[in-house]
Amino acid sequence: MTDTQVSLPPACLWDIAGVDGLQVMKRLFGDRCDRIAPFQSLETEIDRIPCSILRLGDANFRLRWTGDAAHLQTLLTAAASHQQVWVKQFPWLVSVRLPAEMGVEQLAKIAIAKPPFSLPALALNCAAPARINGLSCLVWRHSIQDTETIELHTARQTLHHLKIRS
Amino acid sequence: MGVITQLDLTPPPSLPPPLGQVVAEYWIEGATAAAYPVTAGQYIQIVDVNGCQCSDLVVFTGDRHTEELDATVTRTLNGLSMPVAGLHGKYFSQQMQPLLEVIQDTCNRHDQFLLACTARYYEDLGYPGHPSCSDNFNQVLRPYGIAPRPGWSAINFFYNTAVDREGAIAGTESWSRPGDYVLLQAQRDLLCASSSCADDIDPVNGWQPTPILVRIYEAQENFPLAIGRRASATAPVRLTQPSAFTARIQQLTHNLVEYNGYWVPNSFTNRGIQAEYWALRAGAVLIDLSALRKFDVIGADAFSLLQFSFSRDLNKLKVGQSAYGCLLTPHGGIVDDGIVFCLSATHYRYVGNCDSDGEWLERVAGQSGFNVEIQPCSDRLHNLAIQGPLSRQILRSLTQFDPSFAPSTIDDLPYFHFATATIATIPVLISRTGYTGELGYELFIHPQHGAALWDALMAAGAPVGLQPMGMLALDRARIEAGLLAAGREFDDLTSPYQAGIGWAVALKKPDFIGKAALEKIRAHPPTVTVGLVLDGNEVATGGQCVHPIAERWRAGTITSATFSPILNRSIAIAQLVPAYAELGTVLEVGWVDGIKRRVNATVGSLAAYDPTKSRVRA
Repeated sequence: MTDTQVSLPPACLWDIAGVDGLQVMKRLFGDRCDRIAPFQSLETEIDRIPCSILRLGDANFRLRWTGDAAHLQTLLTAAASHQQVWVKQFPWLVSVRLPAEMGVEQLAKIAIAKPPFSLPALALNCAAPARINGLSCLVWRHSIQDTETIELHTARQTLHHLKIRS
Repeated sequence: MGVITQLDLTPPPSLPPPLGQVVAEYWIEGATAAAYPVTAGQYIQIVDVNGCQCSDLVVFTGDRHTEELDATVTRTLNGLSMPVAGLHGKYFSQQMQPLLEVIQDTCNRHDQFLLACTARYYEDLGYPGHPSCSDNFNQVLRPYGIAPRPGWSAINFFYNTAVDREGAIAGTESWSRPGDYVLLQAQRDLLCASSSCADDIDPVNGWQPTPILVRIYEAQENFPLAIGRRASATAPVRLTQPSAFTARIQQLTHNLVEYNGYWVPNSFTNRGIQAEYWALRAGAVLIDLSALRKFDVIGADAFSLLQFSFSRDLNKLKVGQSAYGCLLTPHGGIVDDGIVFCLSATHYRYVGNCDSDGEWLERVAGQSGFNVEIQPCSDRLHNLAIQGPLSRQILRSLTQFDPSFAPSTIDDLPYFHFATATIATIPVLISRTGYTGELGYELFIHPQHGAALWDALMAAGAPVGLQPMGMLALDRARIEAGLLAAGREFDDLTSPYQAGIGWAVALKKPDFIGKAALEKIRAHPPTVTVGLVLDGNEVATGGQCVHPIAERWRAGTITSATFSPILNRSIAIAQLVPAYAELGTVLEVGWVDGIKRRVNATVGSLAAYDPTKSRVRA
């Protein structure tokens, strides 16, 4: 059992939520946003830079975009204008991209998903709340630039406690 | 002091037989308690021997029993006042670790708001020195080094409490009947203590504490998850059942819930409500609707019985035709809604929602002297709905109709017609009906063919994206289509004119149950059912009040609501007083406490989606 070095890309996570959350997302990214259920995601682009959209609730979404943060903030703020939504970046939330060799089956050996989610059965573009050694994380399986990725979202203070077993 | 004995008495007649090999048994006399160890995986069955007897339970684990079951944590993590067998069936410790899981429950009414009864309770009511469950727990837990408490937070099985609108917690006579039980599985090594509640000064134990039996079964047993329900006062308890399709469905989702006595899927893993919904509206879906109840009505007076008890005029119903309507009470209320199928002049089939429908039809037949036999056939007729604009295309190549029925192909089967046929050589009754607002069919089969039918349809439908659909998406679809749900839009105090199906009442029939009452209600229904389109994106919930603009008083109540993806609007079904039910009337839906915030809503047709029903008739 060894600890595996995890990559920490400069991912930008943006959360959008509120009564009008779905409408704001549809305005920005089209009707596709209402074709996914909570804990499902889709891939798109902003300024030709890949953008991943994860739906967390009927009106709750999370964006992962590695472009210019100020630019995205401008876009989101404009779209959210006069809408009942908030746009936030949580300083306590971090994203961990697992090593390419670590598949969801391997992750399922150490992570327990909250029922009815199941990690071994987690499909591409789906996410699940889970725990690793009791520590909370959101497991998100999606593709970034056609590369299948397993991404964990977890609390910053939890990060150094997470032991990723290879 | 509590008396604990190994059971060596002849069980009373009400004692249910053991569910498996019993490895330990504890007989807890009335007004006493017992402590007992359980290892992880073992099952605990707590039996109310004589009925109407509460049994409190405290649970400990960890070193020196320092971790204990916590009712507040349990309520919070489950989002339920009590765990129920299924997804939200675990009891948790204060460390948020699962200690017990509910496997079976035949009572379904328990308490975890209140303490086990305490000396203080009795003292305050003038009974100083009265035995209490908390004191009994203190005695039986002392040998384990557990310090006494004046009151124990406990799971109070069979204790009937409810919180009323003012917040008062009322406790009254237990729902449990002789032999009712709760079956739990230990998630860790546990020390448990169970009581037979000592309360004899009020109705909670029927004024007389009686014994409780605790049985322990080994972890190797494999008891199915089940919730026990009784359809009527005399009906035996019925445990939740799988349908003919459940085995296939469980390969696709763990998100199953109990619905009307069956395990049904809420949604499917990696698909979800959105994908399932859009598959219905744009493609085709499979829905397990086996929880519907079916009754064959056979005999010389089969027609007369249904003509007398069902709201529609069945005179014109030919063999191979069906009609939607409702069974009625004498005061014009809806007993149940359902569909009558005409299989022959002396053989009809009623498909509704309730086991008690059969008893009702039996009773009407007996009172009216009809020569008819009511045969429940739900156990040998499970049904799968294939719904969506591509459903006909999928069935076309698979279906061979019985030559004795008129349609030769699926394209010839009109709306509300049915025929016997084979699908991939499986005998089926195909009915062109549904509950989605889309073109669709319901396929009735013997349960032995369930897996084969599922596989055949999924294989044939795969090229066009056929998907299974769960109850969450179905509810959304039926609200869009303005289709009623029992308990939401109607009950036995609601007439068809109030529920929005006045068109299904044939008042010209010479006589039928409820006719006189309905003739009066029709002229002046107290409420009518309409569709509402809300401003904004918030989704209402059943029970929210509807008000005239800027008025405090109500004009009606929302019964169901959803967000319609295809309309991109928040919609609802509501029952309004007729004065405010005109199309286009703008009203307000009360949010929060009804007066803090209001959202405008416009009265529309009952069906927000395809109000002309063009799609189901396509």
